[in-house]
Order: sequence, then C-alpha cells, then structure tokens
Amino acid sequence: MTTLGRDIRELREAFPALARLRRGKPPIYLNNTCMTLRPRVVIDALRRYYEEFPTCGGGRSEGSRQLDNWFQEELREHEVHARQTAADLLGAASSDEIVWTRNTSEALNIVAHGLRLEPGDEVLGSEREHNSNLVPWLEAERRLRERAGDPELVVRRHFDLDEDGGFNLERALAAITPRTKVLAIAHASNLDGTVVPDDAIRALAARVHEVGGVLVLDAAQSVPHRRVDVRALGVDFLAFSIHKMCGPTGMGVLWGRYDLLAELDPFIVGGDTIADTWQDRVEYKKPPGRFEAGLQDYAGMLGAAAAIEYVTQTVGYDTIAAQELALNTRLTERLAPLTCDHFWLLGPRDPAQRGGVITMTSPSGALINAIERLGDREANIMVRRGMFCVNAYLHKRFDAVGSAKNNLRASVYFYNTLEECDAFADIVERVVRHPLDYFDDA
Amino acid sequence: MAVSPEVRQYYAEKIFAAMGPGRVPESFRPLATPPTGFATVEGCRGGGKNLTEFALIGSEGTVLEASAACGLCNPAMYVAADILIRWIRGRSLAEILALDPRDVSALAPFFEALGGRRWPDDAREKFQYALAGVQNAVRNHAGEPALPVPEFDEPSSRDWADPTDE
Ligand SMILES: Cc1ncc(COP(=O)(O)O)c(C=O)c1O
Repeated sequence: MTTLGRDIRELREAFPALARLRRGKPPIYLNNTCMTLRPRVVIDALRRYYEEFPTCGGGRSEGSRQLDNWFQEELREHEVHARQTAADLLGAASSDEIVWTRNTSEALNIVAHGLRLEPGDEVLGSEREHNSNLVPWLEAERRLRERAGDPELVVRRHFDLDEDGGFNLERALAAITPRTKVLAIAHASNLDGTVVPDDAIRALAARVHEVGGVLVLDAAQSVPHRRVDVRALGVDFLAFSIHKMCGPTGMGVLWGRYDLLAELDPFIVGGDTIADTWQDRVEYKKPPGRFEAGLQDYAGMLGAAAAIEYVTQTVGYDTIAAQELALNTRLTERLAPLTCDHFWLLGPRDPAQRGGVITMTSPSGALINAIERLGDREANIMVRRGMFCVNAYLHKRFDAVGSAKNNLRASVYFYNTLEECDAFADIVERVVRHPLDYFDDA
Repeated sequence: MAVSPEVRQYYAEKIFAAMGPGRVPESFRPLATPPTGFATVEGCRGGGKNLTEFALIGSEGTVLEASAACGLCNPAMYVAADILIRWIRGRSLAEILALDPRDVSALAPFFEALGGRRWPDDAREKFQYALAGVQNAVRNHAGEPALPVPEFDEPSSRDWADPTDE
C-alpha cells in the first residue's frame, strides 16, 4: 500500500514488533490511541543511553557552565538536544518551556496543582474530557471546597458537544464567564477522534484570555497526528505523551508559556527541583527544573527525541494524515453498514472528522466481548474495549440506553494497512451478523 | 467456554431481543431516582470483564425497586443479573441476606427462574457473583460495609443435578 507515494510496507519494517508471529500470523495492532509501537531507531536511542553514557544527570546547579565528566558531558548534549527537539515540535519560544513528565496525566496534574485558584474561580471543560483532564480538576475543586468550607462549591463545569459528539464552538464560547480561570479541553478525542479545529482553539483562547483565564490543551491525541503550534494556537499550557507517538513508554511533555510556568507552584518536589535549601526554607529552580523532581528518565529523553524526529521527519504528518484517512475510510465503509439494534458507531459519520479512531458500541457487552475475543484468537487483532477513560461522558450520554460500558475502539496509525482493517472488519461483520453463534467467545 | 443451552436461550429471548437503541431490557433500566443501596461486582471469568452494578431503592426492610448495569458482561452474567434483580424486587432485606452465595443449594430459586431441569455450571458461577453483589447493595442500603466477594469456583462444563428432582 502506498500513501502519498510512500511505501507503507517499508515503514513497517522499522517496527520489530510487527515482525512477530503468533500461531503463524503477525500482529494486527489497532490500539494506537492508547500506545503506539516503536521503531528500531527509538529502541536504539534508549539502548544508546544504557550502553554509552548511563550516568547520573542530576546535581547540576541552574545555568551552570561547570565542566561535566566524560559521561555527563555526552548525556548533557543529548538532553539539550532532546528538549530542543520537543520545543521545535510545538513551535515553543524556548526549550525552557518544555517540562519532561511521565505522560499527559502527570503534565495536567502539574498544572491543576500549580495554578493558584481561589474560591469563586471556575474550571471549564467539555462533557467529554479524558479522566486525566477531569479528575485533576475535580481534585482542585475538592481542595477549594475544603478551603472555602463550602462542600457545595462548584469549581469544575462542562459544556455540551453536538449530538454526534462534534465540537460545538458556540456552546463552548457561551460557557466562558468572568469566573472562568481555566479552560481545559482535549484537542482531539480519544473516544471518537473528533478534533477541535484550530480556528476554534484560537477563538477560545482569545475569549478565555479576555476574562483573565488560561487555556490548557490536552493534546495527547493531536500531537502524534498533526502539527500543533502552541504560539499559532494561542494556548497557555499543553500536554502530550511521547508513548502515543512511537516513543518510549512513560514519557510525556508539559509545555507552558514561560511566564505562566514561572508562576506555577511546583507539584512533586525534592531533588533537582531546588536551587538551594536551608533547614527551614527552600528556593526552587526556575522552570523547567523546578518541575522535574529527582533523577530523570534520561534514556527516555533520548528516545523521545528519536521518536519526534522519526514521526515528523522520517514519516511526516502529511503521510500520517493521509494514511489515517484512507484506513478510517475503509473501516467506516465496512462497519457503518452493519448498524443495527445491537451495533452502531460513535461520533460523526464522516471519517475525515475522526482521525484514526473508530468506536463501536452495543447495548450487549457479550457482542463486544465476542468481537474482541475472536479477533485476538483468530487474527491476533489488538483493539480496546471498555470506557477508554471517558466514563463521565459515556455515563451521561449512554447509561439510559444501557451501552455506556460496552464499547470497542479500533485506532490506526501510519503503519497500519487496508488488509489489517479488512481482517478486523471481517471479524466484526461475522459477529454482528450472527451474534448468537459467537456467544461462546463472550 | 461454551455457553449452556439454558443460558443461551434465556439471554437470546429475554435480554438480547429486548435491546436496541432506546430499548433496554426491563431489569437494566436505570432507576428513576438515586439508589439507596449500590454495589459492583466483577465476575471476571471467561472472555468478558463482567463488571456488574446493582442499584436498589429500599424502604422499611424491603427492596422497592432495583436495577442492574452490565459492563462487558457475558451472557451468563446478564442472565444472572436479570434473574437476581427480578428476585429481589419486593423481597425483604433479611431474606436476601440470609442466603449464602457459597452454598450451591441456596441458588435453587435462580435456577428455577432460568428454566430447564439441569443446573448449568456457567449460570451457577454467575449467580454466586450476582448474589454477592446484590447482598452488598443491601448492606450499602443498610449503611453497612460491603463484604469481600469470595472467589467462586470457575465454571466447568459440568451440570449440577437438580437436588429438588428426587
Ligand atoms: C485525550 C487524552 N488525554 C489524556 C490521556 C492520558 O494519557 P497518558 O495515559 O499517557 O497520561 C489520554 C490517553 O489515552 C488521552 O487519550
């Protein structure tokens, strides 16, 4: 299969996991929304740290020009390069705006803990935020309730999306009030792939700035798939996970506008976050150091740089978008006609609006189980079933129809093929057309 | 793991056939008002996750209303939840708590509701989980802590002889 003249099979050869066989068949990996596979260049970058300069990267004073020893010097060079690579990826003003985290969740927690909210301030999100962009704000609400001595205090509010899950800018704008100190939204949904258009982000950023608030963008599902320029969008904080874009597991990034990072209280503190301490007080480093407590995942930083370079240069966002559209179009063409009383798709119909994600739902968990089990057994298909960490939205929308918990998601990345989509669609079709024949697998 | 004919028939006719967009089998319709007792149980054997929630409204020692919600359940878990919900409605809390979910003979009323003369083992295991779940919902209603759900024996393809069939 070629996309924009690229041979996808050639790209696949870079991924050792795709060469594995079980029962004589290769894997069909369709759980890319959760984590992607890794190309050899990323694995090599990780190995490089451990084999060549596996040393302590901590203990440097801020802005120091002290001479490092041999291993530290080499590591330092890679660290600087990695942070700059992440900054360039996002169009950040400086690499000092890049904070390494373990993942998007940690990055969002740093922001939710660090902003100095006061009782009366509000945090706004859509009705469909990932738990990682909901729970940290509910915790902020709990802390403010305690502070205010008001158990009823509402801090976190939400606005509704369109009926089909599409983003509704008017509703979002209308929900911003003078109390809105934070607008925290997902750039792209991990449930149905819908994306908030760039124009909408810009309009929301402008409005939230007018009322003195900040826009926090959960970009876990956008940065791996499309160019995201923080300055062009006008956002204030942004979080994403490197492991969703071919990078090492447990690596993520918090980007923040430098002046805002400088005002953010540190969350996890201790070793390497400090400029100096005395028995009774502490002076923290400037960002990003103050947010990176303890010794870090240095191998992960090398792997992150390799992953970013691989995704943006070796593969390229154009190829990613074109391939995802081709794959999701095929999946949609095969799966949408199966719609019946026991099976339907979530989100907008048009695959162009859903990135690389297609989510199926059923009031019958047995049917979802059967598809997943059969796919695993017969064709090594790996998909995800459940609530995908958007429980609050699924409960709100689908508890009444009994389907909230019975969802199955297939998510593609550039290395997936039309043949893989067909193999998955064949399984879905068999089960949906003859569900009662497959309940033994449920 | 094979689904027993009894479970398959009950599920197909009474549950699966009643499902659709906007159509929810009666035992699985959310309660109109917040529950007074709630518990979840994970009957996690087989290919399903079998996360099942039990919600009830109790008053004066009796269950007035009850409903279940199934997350990625297999047919046996749906069937067990359906039968248990129907059984606890209108029943006294004391009677519900009097059954021991580890005692297979205590499950007789549920096998009866399933129909057929055999006691298929896939149903046995899920009845045990469902009973443990509704009992915890009753305890929750009564302001008591939930009891840990025992690990029940995995279902085999064995059929229990109906002990009432002398
Ligand atoms: C939209 C969105 N936000 C946040 C997260 C959390 O990412 P992580 O688990 O890497 O912290 C995810 C993960 O799937 C996601 O899809």
